[in-house]
Amino acid sequence: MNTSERIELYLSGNMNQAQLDEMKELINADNNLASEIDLQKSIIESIKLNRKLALKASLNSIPSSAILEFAAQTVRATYLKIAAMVVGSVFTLGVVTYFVNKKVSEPAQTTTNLNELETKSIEPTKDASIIENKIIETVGTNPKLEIDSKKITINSKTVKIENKLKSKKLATKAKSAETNRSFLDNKFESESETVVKSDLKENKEFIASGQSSKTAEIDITSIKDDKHKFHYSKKENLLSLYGDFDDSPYEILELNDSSGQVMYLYYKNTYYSLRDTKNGGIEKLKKIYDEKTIQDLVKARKH
Amino acid sequence: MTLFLKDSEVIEKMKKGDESALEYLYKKNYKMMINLIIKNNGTEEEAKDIYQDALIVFWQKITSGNLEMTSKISTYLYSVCQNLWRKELERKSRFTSDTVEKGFSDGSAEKEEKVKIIQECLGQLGESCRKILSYYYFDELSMNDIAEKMGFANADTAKTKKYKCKLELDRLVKSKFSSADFLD
Repeated sequence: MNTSERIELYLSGNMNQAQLDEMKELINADNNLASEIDLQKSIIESIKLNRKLALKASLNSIPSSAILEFAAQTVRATYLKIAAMVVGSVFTLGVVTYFVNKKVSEPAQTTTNLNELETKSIEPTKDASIIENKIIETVGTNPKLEIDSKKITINSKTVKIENKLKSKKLATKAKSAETNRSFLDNKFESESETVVKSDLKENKEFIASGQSSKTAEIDITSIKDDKHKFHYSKKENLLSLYGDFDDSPYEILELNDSSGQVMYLYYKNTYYSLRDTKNGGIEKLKKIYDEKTIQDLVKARKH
Repeated sequence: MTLFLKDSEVIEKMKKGDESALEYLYKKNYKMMINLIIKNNGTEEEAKDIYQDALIVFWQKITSGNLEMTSKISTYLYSVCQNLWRKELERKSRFTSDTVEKGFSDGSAEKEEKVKIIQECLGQLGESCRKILSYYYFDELSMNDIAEKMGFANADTAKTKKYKCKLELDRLVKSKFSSADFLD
Protein backbone atom coordinates (compact mmCIF):
# COMPACT_ATOMS: atom_id res chain seq x y z
CA MET A 1 0.00 0.00 0.00
CA ASN A 2 1.50 3.34 -1.03
CA THR A 3 1.23 6.59 0.94
CA SER A 4 -1.74 8.04 -0.97
CA GLU A 5 -3.69 4.77 -0.57
CA ARG A 6 -2.83 4.74 3.11
CA ILE A 7 -3.99 8.36 3.50
CA GLU A 8 -7.22 7.58 1.68
CA LEU A 9 -7.89 4.57 3.92
CA TYR A 10 -7.14 6.68 6.99
CA LEU A 11 -9.53 9.44 5.91
CA SER A 12 -12.27 6.98 5.00
CA GLY A 13 -12.20 5.72 8.62
CA ASN A 14 -11.82 2.14 7.50
CA MET A 15 -8.48 1.40 9.23
CA ASN A 16 -8.34 -1.20 11.95
CA GLN A 17 -6.97 -0.23 15.37
CA ALA A 18 -3.41 -1.42 14.65
CA GLN A 19 -3.25 0.48 11.35
CA LEU A 20 -4.74 3.53 13.04
CA ASP A 21 -2.18 3.49 15.85
CA GLU A 22 0.66 3.11 13.37
CA MET A 23 -0.71 5.96 11.24
CA LYS A 24 -0.98 8.30 14.23
CA GLU A 25 2.65 7.61 15.12
CA LEU A 26 3.72 8.41 11.54
CA ILE A 27 1.68 11.64 11.49
CA ASN A 28 3.22 12.77 14.78
CA ALA A 29 6.70 12.01 13.46
CA ASP A 30 6.29 13.46 9.96
CA ASN A 31 5.01 17.02 9.38
CA ASN A 32 4.85 16.56 5.61
CA LEU A 33 2.56 13.56 6.02
CA ALA A 34 0.37 15.56 8.37
CA SER A 35 0.07 18.42 5.88
CA GLU A 36 -0.62 15.98 3.05
CA ILE A 37 -3.41 14.41 5.09
CA ASP A 38 -4.80 17.85 5.82
CA LEU A 39 -4.72 18.70 2.11
CA GLN A 40 -6.41 15.44 1.13
CA LYS A 41 -9.07 15.96 3.80
CA SER A 42 -9.84 19.40 2.41
CA ILE A 43 -9.95 18.06 -1.14
CA ILE A 44 -12.37 15.27 -0.24
CA GLU A 45 -14.57 17.66 1.75
CA SER A 46 -14.59 19.98 -1.24
CA ILE A 47 -15.59 17.16 -3.57
CA LYS A 48 -18.44 16.29 -1.21
CA LEU A 49 -19.49 19.90 -0.93
CA ASN A 50 -19.37 20.21 -4.68
CA ARG A 51 -21.62 17.22 -5.08
CA LYS A 52 -24.00 18.47 -2.40
CA LEU A 53 -24.25 21.86 -4.09
CA ALA A 54 -24.83 20.18 -7.44
CA LEU A 55 -27.68 18.10 -5.99
CA LYS A 56 -29.18 21.15 -4.31
CA ALA A 57 -28.94 23.06 -7.57
CA SER A 58 -30.70 20.19 -9.28
CA LEU A 59 -33.51 20.27 -6.71
CA ASN A 60 -33.73 24.05 -6.91
CA SER A 61 -34.12 23.83 -10.65
CA ILE A 62 -37.41 21.99 -10.23
CA PRO A 63 -40.04 24.64 -10.94
CA SER A 64 -42.76 25.35 -8.41
CA SER A 65 -45.31 24.59 -11.09
CA ALA A 66 -43.98 21.00 -11.31
CA ILE A 67 -44.35 20.63 -7.55
CA LEU A 68 -47.89 22.01 -7.67
CA GLU A 69 -48.74 19.77 -10.63
CA PHE A 70 -47.43 16.76 -8.74
CA ALA A 71 -49.57 17.70 -5.73
CA ALA A 72 -52.60 18.07 -7.99
CA GLN A 73 -51.94 14.70 -9.58
CA THR A 74 -51.64 13.17 -6.13
CA VAL A 75 -55.02 14.62 -5.18
CA ARG A 76 -56.55 13.40 -8.45
CA ALA A 77 -55.04 9.96 -7.96
CA THR A 78 -56.42 9.86 -4.43
CA TYR A 79 -59.89 10.74 -5.68
CA LEU A 80 -59.58 8.16 -8.43
CA LYS A 81 -58.50 5.58 -5.92
CA ILE A 82 -61.49 6.39 -3.72
CA ALA A 83 -63.81 6.28 -6.74
CA ALA A 84 -62.33 2.96 -7.85
CA MET A 85 -62.77 1.57 -4.36
CA VAL A 86 -66.39 2.71 -4.27
CA VAL A 87 -67.09 1.23 -7.71
CA GLY A 88 -65.27 -1.96 -6.76
CA SER A 89 -67.22 -2.23 -3.51
CA VAL A 90 -70.54 -1.65 -5.25
CA PHE A 91 -69.68 -4.19 -7.92
CA THR A 92 -68.57 -6.76 -5.36
CA LEU A 93 -71.70 -6.12 -3.32
CA GLY A 94 -73.82 -6.53 -6.45
CA VAL A 95 -72.16 -9.79 -7.39
CA VAL A 96 -72.47 -11.14 -3.87
CA THR A 97 -76.13 -10.09 -3.67
CA TYR A 98 -76.84 -11.68 -7.03
CA PHE A 99 -75.32 -15.01 -6.05
CA VAL A 100 -76.86 -14.98 -2.59
CA ASN A 101 -80.31 -14.33 -4.11
CA LYS A 102 -79.70 -16.97 -6.74
CA LYS A 103 -78.75 -19.51 -4.10
CA VAL A 104 -81.80 -18.66 -2.03
CA SER A 105 -84.22 -18.88 -4.97
CA GLU A 106 -82.74 -21.93 -6.70
CA PRO A 107 -83.72 -24.68 -4.23
CA ALA A 108 -87.32 -23.43 -4.06
CA GLN A 109 -87.56 -23.40 -7.82
CA THR A 110 -86.17 -26.88 -8.11
CA THR A 111 -88.63 -28.15 -5.55
CA THR A 112 -91.46 -26.60 -7.50
CA ASN A 113 -90.25 -28.23 -10.66
CA LEU A 114 -89.99 -31.58 -9.04
CA ASN A 115 -93.48 -31.25 -7.56
CA GLU A 116 -94.78 -30.17 -10.92
CA LEU A 117 -93.02 -33.06 -12.50
CA GLU A 118 -94.49 -35.52 -10.07
CA THR A 119 -97.96 -34.13 -10.70
CA LYS A 120 -97.54 -34.34 -14.42
CA SER A 121 -95.91 -37.72 -14.60
CA ILE A 122 -98.04 -40.62 -15.69
CA GLU A 123 -98.20 -43.87 -13.85
CA PRO A 124 -96.58 -46.41 -16.13
CA THR A 125 -99.09 -49.05 -15.22
CA LYS A 126 -101.99 -47.05 -16.59
CA ASP A 127 -103.40 -47.93 -19.99
CA ALA A 128 -103.46 -45.95 -23.19
CA SER A 129 -106.72 -44.20 -22.46
CA ILE A 130 -105.20 -42.56 -19.46
CA ILE A 131 -102.31 -41.44 -21.60
CA GLU A 132 -104.75 -40.03 -24.06
CA ASN A 133 -106.49 -38.10 -21.29
CA LYS A 134 -103.15 -36.85 -20.12
CA ILE A 135 -102.23 -35.63 -23.56
CA ILE A 136 -105.56 -33.90 -23.93
CA GLU A 137 -105.07 -32.32 -20.53
CA THR A 138 -101.61 -31.20 -21.45
CA VAL A 139 -102.63 -29.63 -24.70
CA GLY A 140 -105.83 -28.30 -23.25
CA THR A 141 -104.71 -24.72 -23.86
CA ASN A 142 -104.84 -25.36 -27.60
CA PRO A 143 -108.51 -25.60 -28.59
CA LYS A 144 -107.67 -26.78 -32.11
CA LEU A 145 -106.14 -29.94 -30.90
CA GLU A 146 -108.22 -33.08 -31.28
CA ILE A 147 -106.79 -36.44 -30.55
CA ASP A 148 -108.15 -39.64 -31.97
CA SER A 149 -107.84 -42.11 -29.15
CA LYS A 150 -107.75 -44.95 -31.66
CA LYS A 151 -104.48 -43.70 -32.99
CA ILE A 152 -102.83 -44.08 -29.63
CA THR A 153 -101.60 -47.59 -29.34
CA ILE A 154 -98.67 -47.06 -27.07
CA ASN A 155 -98.53 -49.54 -24.26
CA SER A 156 -97.66 -48.79 -20.68
CA LYS A 157 -93.99 -49.52 -21.19
CA THR A 158 -93.67 -46.77 -23.77
CA VAL A 159 -95.24 -44.24 -21.47
CA LYS A 160 -92.98 -45.28 -18.65
CA ILE A 161 -89.90 -44.71 -20.77
CA GLU A 162 -91.19 -41.44 -22.10
CA ASN A 163 -91.93 -40.22 -18.61
CA LYS A 164 -88.54 -41.28 -17.39
CA LEU A 165 -86.92 -39.41 -20.21
CA LYS A 166 -88.87 -36.26 -19.52
CA SER A 167 -88.28 -36.52 -15.79
CA LYS A 168 -84.57 -36.88 -16.32
CA LYS A 169 -84.42 -33.91 -18.63
CA LEU A 170 -86.46 -31.76 -16.31
CA ALA A 171 -84.64 -32.80 -13.20
CA THR A 172 -81.28 -32.12 -14.78
CA LYS A 173 -82.11 -28.74 -16.17
CA ALA A 174 -84.28 -27.79 -13.22
CA LYS A 175 -86.41 -25.66 -15.45
CA SER A 176 -89.43 -23.86 -14.19
CA ALA A 177 -92.90 -25.30 -14.34
CA GLU A 178 -93.65 -22.88 -17.13
CA THR A 179 -90.82 -24.30 -19.16
CA ASN A 180 -92.17 -27.78 -18.60
CA ARG A 181 -95.51 -26.62 -19.75
CA SER A 182 -94.09 -25.02 -22.87
CA PHE A 183 -92.10 -28.17 -23.48
CA LEU A 184 -95.31 -30.13 -23.64
CA ASP A 185 -97.18 -27.37 -25.44
CA ASN A 186 -94.50 -27.14 -28.10
CA LYS A 187 -94.64 -30.83 -28.51
CA PHE A 188 -98.32 -30.74 -29.35
CA GLU A 189 -98.54 -27.42 -31.10
CA SER A 190 -99.29 -26.86 -34.81
CA GLU A 191 -101.20 -29.57 -36.65
CA SER A 192 -102.57 -31.46 -33.74
CA GLU A 193 -103.18 -34.91 -35.15
CA THR A 194 -100.06 -34.90 -37.24
CA VAL A 195 -98.08 -33.82 -34.26
CA VAL A 196 -99.56 -36.52 -32.12
CA LYS A 197 -98.81 -39.08 -34.80
CA SER A 198 -95.35 -37.67 -35.19
CA ASP A 199 -94.83 -37.75 -31.47
CA LEU A 200 -96.03 -41.31 -31.31
CA LYS A 201 -93.75 -42.17 -34.17
CA GLU A 202 -90.86 -40.62 -32.27
CA ASN A 203 -91.75 -42.69 -29.28
CA LYS A 204 -91.86 -45.76 -31.44
CA GLU A 205 -88.45 -44.89 -32.83
CA PHE A 206 -87.21 -44.46 -29.36
CA ILE A 207 -88.63 -47.80 -28.40
CA ALA A 208 -87.27 -49.29 -31.59
CA SER A 209 -83.78 -48.64 -30.35
CA GLY A 210 -84.14 -51.96 -28.58
CA GLN A 211 -85.60 -50.55 -25.41
CA SER A 212 -89.17 -51.82 -25.76
CA SER A 213 -91.85 -53.49 -27.86
CA LYS A 214 -95.58 -53.67 -28.26
CA THR A 215 -98.14 -56.33 -28.78
CA ALA A 216 -99.05 -56.77 -32.44
CA GLU A 217 -102.50 -56.13 -33.85
CA ILE A 218 -102.99 -58.58 -36.70
CA ASP A 219 -105.49 -61.04 -38.20
CA ILE A 220 -104.16 -64.56 -37.82
CA THR A 221 -105.32 -67.66 -39.59
CA SER A 222 -104.05 -71.12 -38.73
CA ILE A 223 -104.06 -73.62 -41.62
CA LYS A 224 -103.28 -77.33 -41.51
CA ASP A 225 -101.48 -78.32 -44.67
CA ASP A 226 -99.56 -81.51 -45.39
CA LYS A 227 -97.26 -79.72 -47.81
CA HIS A 228 -96.44 -76.87 -45.50
CA LYS A 229 -95.90 -78.17 -41.98
CA PHE A 230 -94.11 -75.19 -40.46
CA HIS A 231 -94.64 -72.28 -42.77
CA TYR A 232 -96.33 -68.89 -42.90
CA SER A 233 -97.46 -66.22 -45.25
CA LYS A 234 -97.81 -62.56 -44.36
CA LYS A 235 -98.92 -59.49 -46.13
CA GLU A 236 -99.53 -56.34 -44.10
CA ASN A 237 -101.80 -57.35 -41.19
CA LEU A 238 -102.86 -60.70 -42.58
CA LEU A 239 -100.91 -63.61 -41.21
CA SER A 240 -101.43 -67.27 -42.04
CA LEU A 241 -99.65 -69.99 -40.13
CA TYR A 242 -99.29 -73.33 -41.88
CA GLY A 243 -98.83 -76.44 -39.75
CA ASP A 244 -100.12 -77.90 -36.58
CA PHE A 245 -99.98 -75.23 -33.93
CA ASP A 246 -102.64 -76.78 -31.73
CA ASP A 247 -100.42 -78.78 -29.39
CA SER A 248 -98.76 -75.70 -27.87
CA PRO A 249 -99.77 -72.02 -27.48
CA TYR A 250 -98.00 -69.42 -29.60
CA GLU A 251 -97.61 -65.70 -29.35
CA ILE A 252 -97.24 -63.00 -31.99
CA LEU A 253 -94.94 -60.19 -30.96
CA GLU A 254 -94.07 -56.97 -32.62
CA LEU A 255 -90.75 -55.25 -32.18
CA ASN A 256 -89.60 -51.95 -33.51
CA ASP A 257 -86.20 -51.63 -35.04
CA SER A 258 -84.52 -49.19 -37.36
CA SER A 259 -86.34 -50.62 -40.39
CA GLY A 260 -89.77 -50.30 -38.79
CA GLN A 261 -92.16 -52.76 -37.15
CA VAL A 262 -91.18 -56.37 -37.32
CA MET A 263 -93.38 -59.24 -36.18
CA TYR A 264 -92.18 -62.39 -34.51
CA LEU A 265 -93.68 -65.70 -33.59
CA TYR A 266 -92.97 -67.26 -30.26
CA TYR A 267 -93.59 -70.95 -30.27
CA LYS A 268 -92.21 -73.68 -28.03
CA ASN A 269 -89.49 -71.49 -26.51
CA THR A 270 -88.27 -70.41 -29.91
CA TYR A 271 -88.63 -67.15 -31.81
CA TYR A 272 -89.32 -66.95 -35.52
CA SER A 273 -89.30 -64.02 -37.88
CA LEU A 274 -92.61 -62.97 -39.43
CA ARG A 275 -91.44 -60.48 -42.01
CA ASP A 276 -93.77 -59.96 -44.96
CA THR A 277 -93.39 -62.85 -47.39
CA LYS A 278 -92.70 -62.19 -51.03
CA ASN A 279 -96.01 -61.30 -52.74
CA GLY A 280 -97.81 -62.79 -49.71
CA GLY A 281 -96.59 -66.27 -50.66
CA ILE A 282 -95.80 -69.18 -48.33
CA GLU A 283 -92.38 -69.39 -46.77
CA LYS A 284 -90.75 -71.56 -44.16
CA LEU A 285 -90.62 -70.15 -40.63
CA LYS A 286 -87.07 -69.05 -39.90
CA LYS A 287 -85.65 -69.28 -36.43
CA ILE A 288 -84.10 -66.16 -34.85
CA TYR A 289 -80.53 -66.56 -33.70
CA ASP A 290 -79.62 -62.93 -33.03
CA GLU A 291 -79.14 -62.71 -29.26
CA LYS A 292 -80.01 -59.05 -29.04
CA THR A 293 -83.30 -59.56 -30.83
CA ILE A 294 -84.03 -62.56 -28.65
CA GLN A 295 -83.33 -60.52 -25.50
CA ASP A 296 -85.68 -57.79 -26.72
CA LEU A 297 -88.36 -60.36 -27.49
CA VAL A 298 -87.95 -61.92 -24.06
CA LYS A 299 -88.42 -58.48 -22.52
CA ALA A 300 -91.44 -57.87 -24.70
CA ARG A 301 -93.03 -61.09 -23.61
CA LYS A 302 -92.52 -60.23 -19.95
CA HIS A 303 -94.48 -57.04 -20.41
CA MET B 1 -40.69 8.58 -14.22
CA THR B 2 -43.88 6.77 -13.28
CA LEU B 3 -46.22 9.07 -11.41
CA PHE B 4 -46.34 7.07 -8.20
CA LEU B 5 -43.61 4.84 -6.86
CA LYS B 6 -43.48 2.62 -3.84
CA ASP B 7 -40.85 3.41 -1.22
CA SER B 8 -39.01 0.23 -2.13
CA GLU B 9 -38.90 1.31 -5.79
CA VAL B 10 -37.56 4.74 -4.86
CA ILE B 11 -34.84 3.19 -2.72
CA GLU B 12 -33.89 0.75 -5.48
CA LYS B 13 -33.46 3.63 -7.90
CA MET B 14 -31.46 5.62 -5.40
CA LYS B 15 -29.11 2.74 -4.72
CA LYS B 16 -28.23 2.82 -8.40
CA GLY B 17 -27.63 6.57 -8.19
CA ASP B 18 -30.76 7.47 -10.18
CA GLU B 19 -31.27 11.14 -9.40
CA SER B 20 -34.82 11.15 -10.77
CA ALA B 21 -35.79 9.29 -7.58
CA LEU B 22 -34.46 12.21 -5.55
CA GLU B 23 -36.51 14.68 -7.59
CA TYR B 24 -39.56 12.46 -7.17
CA LEU B 25 -39.17 12.45 -3.38
CA TYR B 26 -38.61 16.20 -3.36
CA LYS B 27 -41.90 16.84 -5.15
CA LYS B 28 -43.81 14.22 -3.23
CA ASN B 29 -42.97 15.45 0.27
CA TYR B 30 -42.42 19.13 -0.45
CA LYS B 31 -45.62 20.46 1.06
CA MET B 32 -45.41 18.46 4.27
CA MET B 33 -41.76 19.33 4.98
CA ILE B 34 -42.05 23.01 4.09
CA ASN B 35 -45.09 23.33 6.36
CA LEU B 36 -43.14 21.71 9.19
CA ILE B 37 -40.42 24.39 9.06
CA ILE B 38 -42.75 27.30 8.43
CA LYS B 39 -44.93 26.30 11.39
CA ASN B 40 -41.77 26.32 13.52
CA ASN B 41 -40.81 29.91 12.81
CA GLY B 42 -38.91 29.29 9.58
CA THR B 43 -39.17 31.15 6.32
CA GLU B 44 -39.97 29.40 3.06
CA GLU B 45 -36.36 29.82 1.89
CA GLU B 46 -35.05 28.30 5.13
CA ALA B 47 -37.61 25.54 4.81
CA LYS B 48 -36.47 24.71 1.28
CA ASP B 49 -32.83 24.73 2.34
CA ILE B 50 -33.45 22.43 5.30
CA TYR B 51 -35.64 20.11 3.27
CA GLN B 52 -33.02 19.85 0.52
CA ASP B 53 -30.31 19.13 3.11
CA ALA B 54 -32.48 16.43 4.65
CA LEU B 55 -33.07 14.86 1.25
CA ILE B 56 -29.35 14.91 0.46
CA VAL B 57 -28.55 13.26 3.80
CA PHE B 58 -31.07 10.58 2.94
CA TRP B 59 -29.67 10.22 -0.58
CA GLN B 60 -26.13 9.83 0.67
CA LYS B 61 -27.09 7.25 3.27
CA ILE B 62 -29.01 5.20 0.72
CA THR B 63 -26.41 5.35 -2.05
CA SER B 64 -23.60 4.48 0.36
CA GLY B 65 -25.66 1.58 1.75
CA ASN B 66 -25.47 3.01 5.26
CA LEU B 67 -29.21 2.98 5.91
CA GLU B 68 -31.72 0.17 6.21
CA MET B 69 -35.20 1.61 6.12
CA THR B 70 -37.57 0.40 8.81
CA SER B 71 -40.10 3.22 8.41
CA LYS B 72 -41.70 5.11 5.59
CA ILE B 73 -39.39 7.46 3.71
CA SER B 74 -41.63 10.42 4.54
CA THR B 75 -41.42 9.60 8.26
CA TYR B 76 -37.64 9.41 8.07
CA LEU B 77 -37.39 12.68 6.15
CA TYR B 78 -39.73 14.37 8.60
CA SER B 79 -37.52 13.47 11.55
CA VAL B 80 -34.33 14.52 9.69
CA CYS B 81 -35.96 17.87 8.87
CA GLN B 82 -36.95 18.32 12.52
CA ASN B 83 -33.39 17.61 13.71
CA LEU B 84 -31.77 19.84 11.10
CA TRP B 85 -34.14 22.66 11.86
CA ARG B 86 -33.55 22.32 15.59
CA LYS B 87 -29.77 22.48 14.99
CA GLU B 88 -30.22 25.47 12.71
CA LEU B 89 -32.25 27.25 15.37
CA GLU B 90 -29.54 26.47 17.93
CA ARG B 91 -26.85 27.67 15.54
CA LYS B 92 -28.73 30.86 14.86
CA SER B 93 -29.18 31.50 18.56
CA ARG B 94 -25.49 30.74 19.29
CA PHE B 95 -24.34 32.82 16.31
CA THR B 96 -26.27 35.84 17.55
CA SER B 97 -24.79 35.71 21.08
CA ASP B 98 -21.25 34.84 19.79
CA THR B 99 -21.16 37.79 17.40
CA VAL B 100 -22.30 40.07 20.16
CA GLU B 101 -19.70 38.79 22.64
CA LYS B 102 -16.66 37.71 20.55
CA GLY B 103 -17.02 38.82 16.97
CA PHE B 104 -15.69 36.78 13.99
CA SER B 105 -12.37 35.26 15.00
CA ASP B 106 -12.70 31.45 14.81
CA GLY B 107 -10.59 30.87 11.67
CA SER B 108 -13.58 29.72 9.61
CA ALA B 109 -12.88 32.40 7.03
CA GLU B 110 -9.48 30.86 6.34
CA LYS B 111 -11.03 27.44 5.94
CA GLU B 112 -13.69 28.81 3.66
CA GLU B 113 -11.01 30.37 1.49
CA LYS B 114 -9.22 27.01 1.22
CA VAL B 115 -12.43 25.30 0.16
CA LYS B 116 -13.13 28.01 -2.35
CA ILE B 117 -9.76 27.47 -4.03
CA ILE B 118 -10.28 23.69 -4.21
CA GLN B 119 -13.72 24.31 -5.69
CA GLU B 120 -12.07 26.33 -8.42
CA CYS B 121 -9.71 23.44 -9.10
CA LEU B 122 -12.64 21.08 -9.29
CA GLY B 123 -14.17 23.43 -11.81
CA GLN B 124 -11.05 23.08 -13.93
CA LEU B 125 -11.45 19.32 -14.03
CA GLY B 126 -13.52 17.83 -16.79
CA GLU B 127 -17.22 17.04 -16.17
CA SER B 128 -16.49 13.35 -16.31
CA CYS B 129 -13.78 13.57 -13.61
CA ARG B 130 -15.98 15.68 -11.34
CA LYS B 131 -18.74 13.10 -11.60
CA ILE B 132 -16.49 10.13 -10.96
CA LEU B 133 -14.96 11.76 -7.89
CA SER B 134 -18.40 12.81 -6.61
CA TYR B 135 -19.86 9.32 -7.09
CA TYR B 136 -16.87 7.82 -5.32
CA TYR B 137 -16.41 10.19 -2.37
CA PHE B 138 -19.92 11.52 -1.76
CA ASP B 139 -22.33 8.89 -3.05
CA GLU B 140 -19.90 6.10 -2.15
CA LEU B 141 -21.07 4.12 -5.15
CA SER B 142 -19.25 0.94 -5.99
CA MET B 143 -16.88 0.90 -8.95
CA ASN B 144 -19.40 -1.30 -10.76
CA ASP B 145 -22.17 1.27 -10.31
CA ILE B 146 -19.84 4.09 -11.34
CA ALA B 147 -18.87 2.14 -14.47
CA GLU B 148 -22.54 1.59 -15.27
CA LYS B 149 -23.52 5.21 -14.71
CA MET B 150 -20.55 6.54 -16.67
CA GLY B 151 -20.82 3.97 -19.44
CA PHE B 152 -17.41 2.43 -18.80
CA ALA B 153 -16.57 -1.10 -19.85
CA ASN B 154 -16.10 -2.40 -16.33
CA ALA B 155 -15.18 -1.61 -12.72
CA ASP B 156 -11.48 -1.69 -13.44
CA THR B 157 -11.85 1.05 -16.04
CA ALA B 158 -13.79 3.12 -13.51
CA LYS B 159 -11.08 2.54 -10.90
CA THR B 160 -8.32 3.66 -13.25
CA LYS B 161 -10.30 6.70 -14.30
CA LYS B 162 -10.97 7.67 -10.69
CA TYR B 163 -7.26 7.33 -9.84
CA LYS B 164 -6.21 9.56 -12.75
CA CYS B 165 -8.88 12.18 -11.94
CA LYS B 166 -7.83 12.32 -8.31
CA LEU B 167 -4.19 12.66 -9.33
CA GLU B 168 -5.08 15.54 -11.63
CA LEU B 169 -7.09 17.29 -8.92
CA ASP B 170 -4.22 16.89 -6.44
CA ARG B 171 -1.85 18.38 -8.99
CA LEU B 172 -4.12 21.35 -9.63
CA VAL B 173 -4.64 22.03 -5.93
CA LYS B 174 -0.96 21.67 -5.09
CA SER B 175 -0.06 24.02 -7.88
CA LYS B 176 -2.07 26.73 -6.13
CA PHE B 177 -0.81 26.08 -2.64
CA SER B 178 2.49 25.28 -1.08
CA SER B 179 2.40 22.54 1.55
CA ALA B 180 2.91 25.14 4.22
CA ASP B 181 -0.42 26.71 3.43
CA PHE B 182 -2.15 23.56 4.71
CA LEU B 183 -0.30 23.33 7.98
CA ASP B 184 -2.41 24.40 10.92
